[in-house]
Amino acid sequence: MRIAFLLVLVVCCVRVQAAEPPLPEKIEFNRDVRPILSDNCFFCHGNDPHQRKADLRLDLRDDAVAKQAITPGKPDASSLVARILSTDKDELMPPPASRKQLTPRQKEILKQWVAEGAGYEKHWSFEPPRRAALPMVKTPSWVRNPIDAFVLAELERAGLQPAPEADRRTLARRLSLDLTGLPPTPAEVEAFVNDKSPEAYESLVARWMKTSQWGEHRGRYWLDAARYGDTHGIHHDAYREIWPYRDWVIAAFNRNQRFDEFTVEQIAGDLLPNPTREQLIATGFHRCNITTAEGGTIADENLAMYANDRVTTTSWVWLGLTANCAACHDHKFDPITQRDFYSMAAYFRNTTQGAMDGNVKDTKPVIYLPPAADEKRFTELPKLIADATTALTARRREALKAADAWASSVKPSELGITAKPLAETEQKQLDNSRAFSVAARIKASASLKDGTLATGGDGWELVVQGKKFALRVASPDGKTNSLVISRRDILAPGKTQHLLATHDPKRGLRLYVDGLETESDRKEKQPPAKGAADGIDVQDVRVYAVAITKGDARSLSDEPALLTALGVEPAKRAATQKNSLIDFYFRSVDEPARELAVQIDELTNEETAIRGRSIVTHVQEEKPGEAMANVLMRGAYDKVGEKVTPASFSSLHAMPTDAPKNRLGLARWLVADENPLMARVTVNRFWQELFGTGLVRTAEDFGSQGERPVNQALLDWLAVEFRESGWDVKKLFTLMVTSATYRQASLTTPEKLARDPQNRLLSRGPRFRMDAEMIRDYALAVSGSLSLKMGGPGTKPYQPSNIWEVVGLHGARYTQDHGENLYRRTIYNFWKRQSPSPNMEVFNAPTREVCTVRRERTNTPLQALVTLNDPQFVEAARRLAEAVLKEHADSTGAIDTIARRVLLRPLGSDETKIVAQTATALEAEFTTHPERAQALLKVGESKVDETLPAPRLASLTMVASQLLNLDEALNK
Amino acid sequence: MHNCNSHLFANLPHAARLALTRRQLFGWGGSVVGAAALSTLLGESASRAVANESQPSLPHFAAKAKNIIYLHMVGGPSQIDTYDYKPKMVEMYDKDLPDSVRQGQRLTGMTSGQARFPVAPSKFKFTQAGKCGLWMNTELLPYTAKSVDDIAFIRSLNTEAINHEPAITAIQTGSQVAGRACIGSWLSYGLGSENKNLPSFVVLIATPSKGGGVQAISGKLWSSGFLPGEHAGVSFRSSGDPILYINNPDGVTPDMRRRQLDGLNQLNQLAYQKLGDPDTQTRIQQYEMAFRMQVSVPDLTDISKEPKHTFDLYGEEARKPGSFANSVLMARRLTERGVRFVQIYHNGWDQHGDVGGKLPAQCLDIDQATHALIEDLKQRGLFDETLIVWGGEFGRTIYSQGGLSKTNYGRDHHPRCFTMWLAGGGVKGGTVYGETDDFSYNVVKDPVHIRDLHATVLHLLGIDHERFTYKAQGLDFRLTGVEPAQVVKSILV
Repeated sequence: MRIAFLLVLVVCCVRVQAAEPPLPEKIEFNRDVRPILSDNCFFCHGNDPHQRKADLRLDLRDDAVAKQAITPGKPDASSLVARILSTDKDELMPPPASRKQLTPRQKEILKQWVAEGAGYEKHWSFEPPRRAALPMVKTPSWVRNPIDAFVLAELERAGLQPAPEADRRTLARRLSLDLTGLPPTPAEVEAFVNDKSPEAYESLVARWMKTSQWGEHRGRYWLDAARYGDTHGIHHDAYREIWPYRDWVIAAFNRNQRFDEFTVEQIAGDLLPNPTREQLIATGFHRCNITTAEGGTIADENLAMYANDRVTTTSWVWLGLTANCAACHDHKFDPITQRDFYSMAAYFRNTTQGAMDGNVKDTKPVIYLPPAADEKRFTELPKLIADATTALTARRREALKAADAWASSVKPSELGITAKPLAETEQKQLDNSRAFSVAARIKASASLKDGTLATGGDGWELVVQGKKFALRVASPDGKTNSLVISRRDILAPGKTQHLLATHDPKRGLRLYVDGLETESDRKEKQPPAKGAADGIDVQDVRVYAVAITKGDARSLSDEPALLTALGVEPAKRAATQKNSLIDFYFRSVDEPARELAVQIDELTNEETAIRGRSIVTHVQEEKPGEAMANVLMRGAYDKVGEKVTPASFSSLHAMPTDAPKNRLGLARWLVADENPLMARVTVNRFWQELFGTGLVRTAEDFGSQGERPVNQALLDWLAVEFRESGWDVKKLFTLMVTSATYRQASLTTPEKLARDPQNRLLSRGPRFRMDAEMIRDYALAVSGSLSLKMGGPGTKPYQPSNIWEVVGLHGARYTQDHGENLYRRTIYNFWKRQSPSPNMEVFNAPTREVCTVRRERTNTPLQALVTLNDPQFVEAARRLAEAVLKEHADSTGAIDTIARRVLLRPLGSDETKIVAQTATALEAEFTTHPERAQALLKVGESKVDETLPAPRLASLTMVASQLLNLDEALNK
Repeated sequence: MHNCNSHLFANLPHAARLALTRRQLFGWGGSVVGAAALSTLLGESASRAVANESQPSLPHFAAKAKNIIYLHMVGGPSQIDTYDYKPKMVEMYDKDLPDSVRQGQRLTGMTSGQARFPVAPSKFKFTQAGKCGLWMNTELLPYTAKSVDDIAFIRSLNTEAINHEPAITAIQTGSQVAGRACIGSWLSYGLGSENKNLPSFVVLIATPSKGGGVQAISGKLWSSGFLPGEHAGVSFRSSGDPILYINNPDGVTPDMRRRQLDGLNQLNQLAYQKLGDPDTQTRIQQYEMAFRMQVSVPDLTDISKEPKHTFDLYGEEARKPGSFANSVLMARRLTERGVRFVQIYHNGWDQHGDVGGKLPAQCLDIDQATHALIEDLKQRGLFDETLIVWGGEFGRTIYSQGGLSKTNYGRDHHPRCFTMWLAGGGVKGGTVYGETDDFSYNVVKDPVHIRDLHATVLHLLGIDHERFTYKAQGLDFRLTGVEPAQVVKSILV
């Protein structure tokens, strides 16, 4: 054993050194003991009663002592110690079958801990953060602000020195990338280099923080956490319109919204008193979860999945807890019970959102954001509609007697429902220049096949597509046409249904089913149906030369019922029969009521029309009634357990007493000063944005299985500072980026690689590969082609063909944009979850199907292929070369300028030589083969300046690409 | 081409080189892209390596197979019309499925509203095949019938999920919930690649020759989930660039690219000397590997030099990019070159209606090529070290969805039993395992859950599924999850 151990030492000295340091002088429970117990013991002797063996808990001191597993101060009288040291396989803990094994050091720690009295501590992150006194350091002159004191103390303990401050060019580049996500311009850098003012750096910080790009850059990280995407995510993965939420996030960072308000508005903006439009848009956060419309899926299962995602996301983002583990059973490591999980789910289940997204862009609940010109009218309309509706109700009450009298005396021939239907020859004269309506009573069967239901020749046809129906109308010359199709499946096999489509040259096409209007979508340039529909019984097709009104649509549909009612003696009529006649009277006979109905119809039409012109965004909406959920046994939707009401996690801080029992209460609980987690978790993510890794590496898990903070005093100090500053994000970032820690050069020494291999102690400046979006934005920015236009629908830049098409269901086609949208910032890329932009995904951009608070950062050859060959990058290199060549006809000057734009520094003489060699050799090639130069310069949609010498431009394009692919350019 | 192994690492600190050796176990490209993961090694994955210290080197025991070709039939083929022979159903034609068989089990929303559940016996001809005498649909699968003595059939596969998205996610990743790692990624992570110029896990998407019954498949099925990103499947495409962005821009020849990269490497070396960041070395390796891929992929994908007898074996369809036959031929070429895991998705098996019309076309797509793959691998001596897996994400119902006639019917999703087969290294050919009732509705003997299948596949590759874990979100994840899983020993040699 000993020999084998030594061998390992020889082979892997570095790792063994890290794994087996000497025992600490005094054992600390959270630092030394808890990780061992959590990894090896809590699974069977922890929080989860279902897994618990021998009725023994080791996570609670009293229990462990009562069972004599631990006798404080007496390792020899503690069965825990005896069992871990046992040589008897049946006695040994953890049992060999668990495949867990304690190292000798771990055994020693546990033994010594018991000997020292077996003190327990609450898990570190559940204790409130406190501002520790600033530690004493040996070189206080290095300290610029409190961050540095905490960092330096740790460095000194490890026997390391901080790196010197980075040079001004490096610093400016790093700062600009961290505050705006974009490189600075060479002019900005030179100005900073020459700025002699003592405040030069601070004013640069302030300036870049004020740009709109600040919000875009901060927002991008948040959108990963919010799992923002432009599609529903599952099955069809159809378009979801929710980009106003993305723009809201950017704006919120730009106006430096307090982080607590930022939180409350996203969780419960709709429940605030008189919520503003922005506060409603903010609730899009929890509408970003993925949803389905797959036929055959079960509603309860889908709803359980949506709620599960919301609890999980909330818990990762604001609490840093892996509550998802408690969906099936009590959390095995952290004090979150299954009941806790579903109690939080209760908040999110109380929504008006349905189980299916319908594959439409506006799955309710949504709000409409009308164009400015409509905004006033759009806000007035609901009241006007309500007033007219009240008036109509009043009129009906007032004239009820007259209605009764009419119903008792009217004859079938007097009904006169609408204009007379047209004869067949007249039907053929209709087209999109005329108002008309087509009605049919149908009964579909299971073997329904697409085709025409009724047609008037070339001018119009009523058609079936799948289970939807549509009216297609053509212009008199047949050159243009449009089709309006029901948005949802309408045809129900086996059921008699009344379909009506109306056309008005001014108001367009509308569809009704059984007398009620149904939502529809308009498409242009549609081919006619290929033959008659099959598997459907069509009766009583009628065509009218008017666009039938809403009221008449109902009467037309009701006609058979009305005639039946009239066939019955007035006194013997059933209530429904009586009511259908009375309804008819007020719709069609009583003039004041009819006028009001028409008025309501028109107002509603107007509202619908404005909606059609509006931007849609998905929001949260509370359902009336008390929120509740059921515990789902093992997380299964169909194993419904105990009913629970909304509540926060029971082992964390208490819910504020005045908090309402809805999402607003939950939000208040999250942002409460007593919450030990939110400030820490948030500060840690911000730290991660700048330094690449958080002070707690597991940004999503501050629980017992997560990493302990590498510098807890610093994390806690920052957390308290952030909260006490009024949750001021910009202030916190200012503090971090002005620290000496941040300003260090990223110089690595062999000593630092050995003692601080991952730079967790911050012995040097941050240096790591930029995120996907930054790499693309960088190339666009230095080439001068980046558009800074903000907001709006997702953009579709270059993408290889057949990306969406191969994986998606029928109809998923990527239609690439042209012009400015090819060069917008990547945060605006249209994010299709089943097929995110392939050039970004390869750089670890997440699919956004689930919450991501920490991106992976891997390096694969596929990434090199993107930055070398993707037309987006090739074109950027060419445009950079083009811009530079216009200023510098000579190759040497051009190379220097390209380098200054890409690297923000002049090249060293050794570097210039290498680049010049590439340029000269390739220019010779391109001169010998001018067609190659022409081919390369044609990549991308922007036009090349043909007055420039092609071989030189082509070779400088390759040079620009070479520099853009440098490790230095790809790294922050 | 440049040799990039030894001299570039001369500058590396001792620790990094040690780590590198360890890292050879992981990632693609063995030692070389082990180097590509170097940054992660000295950065994030240093702790990962330590966290996995208790994990012994893989394989855990001698592997029976080295590579996998997994043929996934997207949509769920009907076991009743292919391999699960149910002669008694002929008498049950159009009779109601007895409640005693259905046992109140859940149905999808597509048929739960049906007034009745009439039994639809298979309309196809079943005869006995091979020395083993397996009863199967020899009408539609005459070629596969010739291979049955090389194949082990499991008729008792079962899963929980009843709809495509969760079911396909479950059989690929072990969980219905998105975000876990798929089998291919697990094996890439565990075993790495044997070819330093190609990824260890390749995905090919085969288009059915006749449309219809198509289900969505997306990149998440071959994403690496919580495993490091380099273990995600690389999708080879049948049109455009075979690997995204593999081709140089127009006008740039390989020589010119080489020259550009030479300069790039030299510049990166200077930066490394200045800053000493080991990531810079990774970057150099990353670009070298990309270049080698650019050089090797055209040769890989150029099937024009395949001799005529290859196409006699696979069929002329194999010349058509994107066809199943073409994908299978490509799979053989990839396996030959040491690619660890080739995943083929063939769409179009979701036959809710018109089984009579659609199933023959689907079988025609796969039959000859599947047989050819087995024969071809045998001829090349690769069959014994390659595991072939065939199957869908679930089975289909004995009762008809929609109209039923003697010649046509539809079938809804059925998770409670379906047939899959394995062939190749370590698999006992001519075996049939597991049994379903007369209605192919419930398993009556030797049930095999999909996690048992996963355990078996890992076992054949020399991996103990219980010891093969990865720590993420504070948990030790396994492909087979937390429920107990058993290796199906009866089908192994």
